[in-house]
Order: sequence, then structure tokens, then C-alpha cells
Amino acid sequence: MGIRTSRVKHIEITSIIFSGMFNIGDSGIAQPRSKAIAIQQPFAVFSNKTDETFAQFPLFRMKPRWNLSNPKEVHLKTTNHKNTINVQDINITGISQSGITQIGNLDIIDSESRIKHIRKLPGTNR
Amino acid sequence: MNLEVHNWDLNVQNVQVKVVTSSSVFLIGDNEEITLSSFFDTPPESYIIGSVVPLAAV
Repeated sequence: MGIRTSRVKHIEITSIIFSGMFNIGDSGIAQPRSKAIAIQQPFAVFSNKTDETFAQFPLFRMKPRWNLSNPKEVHLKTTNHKNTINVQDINITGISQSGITQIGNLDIIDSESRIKHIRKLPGTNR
Repeated sequence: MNLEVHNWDLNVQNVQVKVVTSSSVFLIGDNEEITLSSFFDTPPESYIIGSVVPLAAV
């Protein structure tokens, strides 16, 4: 794919966390991965023994099931008569969890993010 | 399938985005192949009631 020149006048991004990606210009391949365990509990427990590990939860082992029963062959032909990208003003509050923001070409994107939510509530198991 | 793309100037005036998260993409430009996957669980798998770590275990 052709090379393009990106010109950005003003861009404002507040935060980029958890393998987020921001890029001005062309790139070939982006392959961010992000795994997280989010625990919500009514009080703070400061103990160095971490009881939750990624291995415990099947969520982190599952494979995405794409149904590519009959994938179509696509022949792409790109011609850049003019190869400039002009951006005046962009405002983004947050890029997170394998999020990608790109001003310019990005050929191949293969992104994955996994979040295990755990809410620990006091009370009795009825 | 044949796809022919002719690019001239690409001008973007103003964009406001709150959040780009969990394997999502905000792209101004060309692309060939995108594969995005996001896994998360919903209750009740994500609820634990009762077996909460007692405070003394610090």
C-alpha cells in the first residue's frame, strides 16, 4: 500500500494506558494484547498473596471463533494520486486495553483484549 | 473480489472521541486487514457472594 504523509495541526489525548497505541504516520503491523483481572470489593485488602491468577480462569484460554466458512479472496489495488492526510483538530479522552489510534496507514491489525470481572460482595451464600 | 482504491487528499476537520478501548481502532488512513477480538465475562460468573477474604488475613 502506498506511503502517505500525515499532517496533524492539533491533537489532544488525555490518557493512553494498558497497551494502548497512538501513532502518527504509517505502520505495517499492530498486534496489541491486553489481559486484566478487575476486582471490585467493598474494602481494601493489602496482602501480598495474589489469589487470582490468569491461569485460573478459562476466559484467558478461550480462542476466538471466527466463522470463516467461505473466505472471499480480495485483490486490493491502491493508487495514491495525492498522499497527504491533513488533520485539523482531534480530541480523545482515553485509549486503553489494546486500543489503537492511528493517523496514517496501518496495514495489518490483530488486536485482542481480555478482562475478567470479579465482584466480591459480603453476605451469606443462601 | 477486486477492490481498487484511488486516494486523493484526506482532510479531517474536527473529531471528538470519548474512549477508544477493548481492541477498538480509530484509524484515519488506509488498511488491509483488521482482526479485533475482546473477551469479557458477565454476571453471574463474575459475582462471589459470601466467601470474601476476611480482613485479618493481611
